[in-house]
Amino acid sequence: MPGFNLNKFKVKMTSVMKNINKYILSLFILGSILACDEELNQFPTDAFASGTFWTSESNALIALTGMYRGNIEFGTQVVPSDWWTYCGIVFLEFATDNSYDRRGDNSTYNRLTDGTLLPNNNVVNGYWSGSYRRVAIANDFLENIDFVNMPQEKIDRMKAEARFIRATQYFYLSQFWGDVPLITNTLTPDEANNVQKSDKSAIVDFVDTELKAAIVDLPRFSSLGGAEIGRASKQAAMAFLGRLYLAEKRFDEASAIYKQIIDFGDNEIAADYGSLFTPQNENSTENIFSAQFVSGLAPNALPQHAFPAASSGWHIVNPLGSLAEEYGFDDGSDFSYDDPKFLQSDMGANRDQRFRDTFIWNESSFQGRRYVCHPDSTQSVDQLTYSKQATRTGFGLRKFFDESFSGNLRTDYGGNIPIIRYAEVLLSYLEAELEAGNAITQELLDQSINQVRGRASVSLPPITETDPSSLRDLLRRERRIELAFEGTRLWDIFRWNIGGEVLTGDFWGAPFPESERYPTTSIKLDPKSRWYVTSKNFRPGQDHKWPIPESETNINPKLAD
Amino acid sequence: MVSKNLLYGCLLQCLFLTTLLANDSKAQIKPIDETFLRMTNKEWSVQEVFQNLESKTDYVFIFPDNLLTDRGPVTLKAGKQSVNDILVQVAQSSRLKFRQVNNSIYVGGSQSTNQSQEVTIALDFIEITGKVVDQNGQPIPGATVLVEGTNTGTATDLDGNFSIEVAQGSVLQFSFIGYQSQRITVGNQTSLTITLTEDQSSLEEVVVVGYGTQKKVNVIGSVSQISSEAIENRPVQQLSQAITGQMPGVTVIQRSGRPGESGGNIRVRGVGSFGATPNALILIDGIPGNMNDINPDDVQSISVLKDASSAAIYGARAANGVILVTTKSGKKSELSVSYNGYVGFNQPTQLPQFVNSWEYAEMYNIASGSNSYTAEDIQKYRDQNDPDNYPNTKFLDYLFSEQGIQTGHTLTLNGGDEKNKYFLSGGFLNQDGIIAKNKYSRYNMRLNLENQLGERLKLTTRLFGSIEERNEPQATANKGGELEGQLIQNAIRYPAVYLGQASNGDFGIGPESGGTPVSWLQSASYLENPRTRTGLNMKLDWTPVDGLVFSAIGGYNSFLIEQRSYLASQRLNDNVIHDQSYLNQFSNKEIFKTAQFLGEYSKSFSKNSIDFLVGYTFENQINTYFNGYRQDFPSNDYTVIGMGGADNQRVDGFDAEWAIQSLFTRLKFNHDEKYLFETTFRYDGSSRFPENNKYALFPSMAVGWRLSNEDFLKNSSWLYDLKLKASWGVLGNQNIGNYPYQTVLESGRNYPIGGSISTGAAYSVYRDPNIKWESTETTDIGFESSFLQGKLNFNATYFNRNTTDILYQPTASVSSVLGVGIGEVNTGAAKNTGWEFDFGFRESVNDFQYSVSGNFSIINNEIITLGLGNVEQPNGLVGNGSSLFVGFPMEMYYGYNSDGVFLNQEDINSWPSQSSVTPNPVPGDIRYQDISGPEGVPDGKVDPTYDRTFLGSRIPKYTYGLNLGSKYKNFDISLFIQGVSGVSGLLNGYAGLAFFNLGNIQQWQMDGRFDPDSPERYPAYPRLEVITNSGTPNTVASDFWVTNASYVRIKNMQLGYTLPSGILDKIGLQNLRIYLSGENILSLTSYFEGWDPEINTGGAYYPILATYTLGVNARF
Repeated sequence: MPGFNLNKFKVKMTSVMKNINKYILSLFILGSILACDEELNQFPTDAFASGTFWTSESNALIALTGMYRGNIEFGTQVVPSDWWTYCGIVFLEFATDNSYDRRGDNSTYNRLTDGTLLPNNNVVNGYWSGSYRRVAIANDFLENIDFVNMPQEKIDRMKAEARFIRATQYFYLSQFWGDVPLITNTLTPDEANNVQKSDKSAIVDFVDTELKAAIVDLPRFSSLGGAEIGRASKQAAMAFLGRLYLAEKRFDEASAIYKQIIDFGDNEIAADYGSLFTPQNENSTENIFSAQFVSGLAPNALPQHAFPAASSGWHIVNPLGSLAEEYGFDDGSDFSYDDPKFLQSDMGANRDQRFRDTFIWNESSFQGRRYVCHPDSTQSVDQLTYSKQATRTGFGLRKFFDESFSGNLRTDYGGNIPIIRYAEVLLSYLEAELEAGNAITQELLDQSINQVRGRASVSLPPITETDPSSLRDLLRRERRIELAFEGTRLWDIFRWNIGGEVLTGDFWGAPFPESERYPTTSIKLDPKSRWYVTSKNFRPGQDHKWPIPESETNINPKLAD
Repeated sequence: MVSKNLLYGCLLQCLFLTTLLANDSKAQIKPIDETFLRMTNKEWSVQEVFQNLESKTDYVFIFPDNLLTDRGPVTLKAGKQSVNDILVQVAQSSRLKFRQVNNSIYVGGSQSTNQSQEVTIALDFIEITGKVVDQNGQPIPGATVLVEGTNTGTATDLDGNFSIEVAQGSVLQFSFIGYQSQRITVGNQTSLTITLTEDQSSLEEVVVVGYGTQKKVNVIGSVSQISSEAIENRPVQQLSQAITGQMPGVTVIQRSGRPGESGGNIRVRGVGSFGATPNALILIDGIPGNMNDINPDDVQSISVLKDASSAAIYGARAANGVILVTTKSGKKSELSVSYNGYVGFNQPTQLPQFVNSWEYAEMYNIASGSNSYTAEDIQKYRDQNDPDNYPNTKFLDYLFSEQGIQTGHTLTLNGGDEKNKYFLSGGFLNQDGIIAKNKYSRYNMRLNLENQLGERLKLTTRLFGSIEERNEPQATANKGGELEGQLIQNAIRYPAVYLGQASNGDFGIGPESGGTPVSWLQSASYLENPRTRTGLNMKLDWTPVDGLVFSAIGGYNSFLIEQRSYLASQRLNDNVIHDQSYLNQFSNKEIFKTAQFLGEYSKSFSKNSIDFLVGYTFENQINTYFNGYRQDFPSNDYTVIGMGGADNQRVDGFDAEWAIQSLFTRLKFNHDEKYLFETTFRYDGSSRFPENNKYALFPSMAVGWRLSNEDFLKNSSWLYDLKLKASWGVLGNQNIGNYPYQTVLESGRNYPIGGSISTGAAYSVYRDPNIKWESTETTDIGFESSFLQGKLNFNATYFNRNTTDILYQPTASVSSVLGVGIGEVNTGAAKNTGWEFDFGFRESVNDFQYSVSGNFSIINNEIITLGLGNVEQPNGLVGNGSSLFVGFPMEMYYGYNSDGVFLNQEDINSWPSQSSVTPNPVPGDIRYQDISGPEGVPDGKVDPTYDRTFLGSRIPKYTYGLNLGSKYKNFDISLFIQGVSGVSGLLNGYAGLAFFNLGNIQQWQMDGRFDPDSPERYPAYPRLEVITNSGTPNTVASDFWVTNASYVRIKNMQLGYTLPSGILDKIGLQNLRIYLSGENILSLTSYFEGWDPEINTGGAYYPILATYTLGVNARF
């Protein structure tokens, strides 16, 4: 810019600068008027701020509900998120001789016990993280509940519930993994990544102590009000303690604690077996503690997964012949295909009522429809094959289902699933007495196993066997039948250490001796023309303990063996 | 269609430079017949006449030395006469002829006696009228028209018209800022239409930067800009698709072709974070927005701020780049109406081929080791005599059977005067999906106004709105679920052995008894997803004194997303009637408000120029979400929520809010456009951080040196421009949830107590109460160069981005012993380094113009530390053991190296034991390599601890694009090729595996399977097996599955024809171009057969689409 007058520029500049200062000043004044500092403090509207939450009894109840929920997810699951979902309870039987996972041998449930268990098994991981999820919620609850202003006895009861829930999780952890980290307070991520394993005995001691403490402050089952259905009672905690003692072979203690439950007299065996597992009679006093579901808002999606294809289900639960053959005839005699009471045309005829309440079979009726699973029934969606999304054994599941249900299979079914039943208490009591080496009296049998067998709808003749060894077989079979699909079979196999016997070799489904397709289609053939299902190769000493999930040892190598 | 250069050129030229450039008509040489003078009536020598005229007029006479010898004297008339008359007299008497070129009069001799010819000298001057337009036929006002070699010239008027008198044979030069100048030799024509093409490398080019524009030569940061030209007539549905491959360092990955949801993921210079979403900040006319709601026809330019210095003005949210979309503005011209429209169709770029029912049956028998389908069954499938019972239903082909007709229309009105300018556009897009009942439509409206309210007050108003609607088919209520998850995924999953629809109209119930895609598609289920966006933003500029501007900006956007999904009941056949139905409906209202105040002072003094900006901004957004659910509708004719059954009805909702306020300042300085300096500070406060860490300061600075302006290079003939540049800065990222630091109990953890649902809440997420900003430090060094008068340019940049305090939810890095999820914590650091290159060349030879431009980027993405989760794995890698490892890129695959499959038992026995991966290997199982062990060397067994390694990343390492364009007379053709390489992809689930969860098998899987009868070491697919949804030992991550996803594709190709002006005049149009365009025409890739390389899926996907259109651009 030729001829530019620098002095003039300076003068101009100064005045401009003055103006600028003025403008900037006003801009900032404007800015600060509008500065919305308070807008920068935002809090979520759809969650409870922990700092202000633990104040009222009503909030404590909200937290208590959340704690019972644990990691239960409503809707279908392929991997358990919690021990107390349908997936956590019913599907666990896929790993046993009771049931086969329609998804096939590669199912990670099946792999728990077929000799191919690996640390990356996602079922193992699901139970593991579900347990610690409940532990963390309970720890948080216990750390805060004292801040709530409410009567001490209410605080004590809620604390007992938290300790009960936490102890049940450590019970499962101790039973399936053995040595695991014992976490009793909320952690930071750094702490969580550096935990050490505690010996199984320490975990067992912890469960023992905690359950005992919980029993003190929990209400008796009989005093649970209608509005408290689903909450823990003394009996629930005692039953878990009984389980712990049984597994630890502390049979005298087990017997004592079970006796206490019996002596309370709050619970009794229901007259009907089938309706115990449906909304019809799910609140029977026989169901000591159940996973709670309601239609729509907290649905149980088991119908979607387990209904037969004809009812638009995915038929994932396939009872094995091994279990089916345990159910005797309704006169109390043992089952045999050769017995004339067995009818090929109606496998449920003349059988233990619990067979009919638990299974569906070829040409039986389910939801008012014929269930056709004969291998030759090529036009049936439930045809027995290795290819359809239908049975793999010739059986299906009836237990847990209200057959009049007609809603959405995933979202509308509200049937509860029992976690502890009084029938288990009675059978476990007898087992404790038996294994403790105590004399077996008819009175004891009548007080325990015969109550279970004698319920009105079942009405099997009483057991009179008092020889411990013979009785053991009868008792174990009774337990297997009575508690089928309730998630206890694998634990029983582990603690009885019978995996090597019952989880090896070939597994078969229902027999179809007249079938045209059977001889060419069944992968293996059987003299009784039973459908071949699978073979297992349980590795005793290795598979009775689950590996710590690979994803955990990746992060914290201290958890590796 | 207004191009960016025109706009900014206009601005500059009209406002600042007019006087410099206007070789206005005053300076023109008067014609010789209008130049009068008096000559005395005497005998002149010719020489004297010339000298006299030269002294009295501007003309000079040019003639050969010996011309005047032997020429006799001339007697001129007396009195006032024109130069013309004088020359006529001279010519007649001396047999000379004259030719005027501007102010020069060439004198030639003639032997001819035919004198009449000699006197026509003035007729050599012809009046040329014409019009200067841009490539789109838009007039360019203010363009310079100059007679070459003289100062004679003129400028075009508002409509681009000019008129000038020139001698025949002279050369006219047309120029305008931002355009390549053009030379025309004047021949016989008297009317010219000159089309100027944009000059990308022009020194005057202006780019959009944060809070303003800047001459490109003075930009020190790394800014890539594309103009409307680059996205014009591309039949893209979403704007983000249009920028794929156009700019170095900008990677767009399109994972879906779903109509209305097909926007790409934009990543600027790699992936900056494995925590907070590494999305670029997108600003539309300065207001945060969504790129995909804009009509691409409304876009003037898209500018990407890549380095710290250019992006720092947006500090807190700029760490992953800033994309500035500028919409078109009105122009000072008469009303101009233009219309762009096209119609075309879509088809998938790739479609997987599934086997026939009989082949499926055969393969299933092999996979299951059973005889599930008897030979008789298989024969019946093969015969196809009884399709009701032995069908061959190709579900995927059935589903994807529509043409996908797509049409787009935009009508634009544009104009204004000195004080008021307007731009109004209305657009409509309709895209039918390749699936029945699937479509997407969008209506856009935009009004941009500029009003000079007073001499020093200007108001810019931008008003826009869009209405979009996505329609999709849904599965029925018994099945639940939506388009991708149910219809498409199950069309992939369901084998051909299942019936679609029987001859009597009944539907097949499918493998799950819930129907099939065939029945669902014919059900009454539907999804409607309307979205309404409106926005107003106003900017008031006050210029109290020259060079000082205060601006106040207010913006208000409202966005309403609604969705209604009705899942119908349906009768499949007499036995299977699914009578459930349900309706899910939600609305999410988003209100965004901003207030911004800016002050900017610019001044030039001597050779220095400074620019100082300060600003304050406040932004706030409130979301309100509400949803409702009802089930058991009386029939599929009543699908409003009020008609649902009373049971299980539910409502839900929440509010969410965030706010951010910022102060910033920027100082730019340059000396002689030679030494450039810029610094920026931004101070941001965000509601997403706790009190103690709410505010953070983000500084940056940059320096540049234009060597080409130095004396020693200034006169270089080959070098046009050369600039070295470097910048440094720190930027932030806060793309995380709204409430990341507040410890809460999660609500909605309801559970039945007492037989009915009770409200529950639980401790669910660990939160760090002290989180702070994630920050990225970027260093950038590069040069920009331009040669051959700007025809050729080449730029290169190296960058280094270090992100620290990554806001990450380290779920996979935290033991589940923690028992709860984990919120964002500041943990980890990552680095992206890389190179960006781009070049361009443009040339025109007579009627033939062509251009080549391309870009290439190399991005190295690397995790520096995970912080929490830095677990030293036994195999020496440090990381979370699954997806993130120090020293490796993010989005990586971790797994085994494979070496084909086992051929036989001996092979298995002699191979290192892989029982901890494959407990019972059989021939045809994938053979994994033993790469290490506890001692760091192979230990004789394959296990997850030691033998997994890095297999690739989903982040492309190399991205490139190549644009070829050419124009000949009225034809134009362009080709845009784009590609990525150094990238891996994976198909899994139903898409990648045969017989996954009772799924189907693809042709390539059948053809390439391991066959025990003729075992092959490296089959395309291992042995067939029935795979559950938890996989098998063969499906764990390995390089058998992780596949090179590199590709090169013809992204767009266009062939256009512009009608000649003669025809246009007859039909009353100013401009009309007809074109054919194709998008995603051809891809070269080695990815899985039948799958587009950008697709990574388990089956729930929507194919990437190729689009072919016929379009028209018209201006009235």
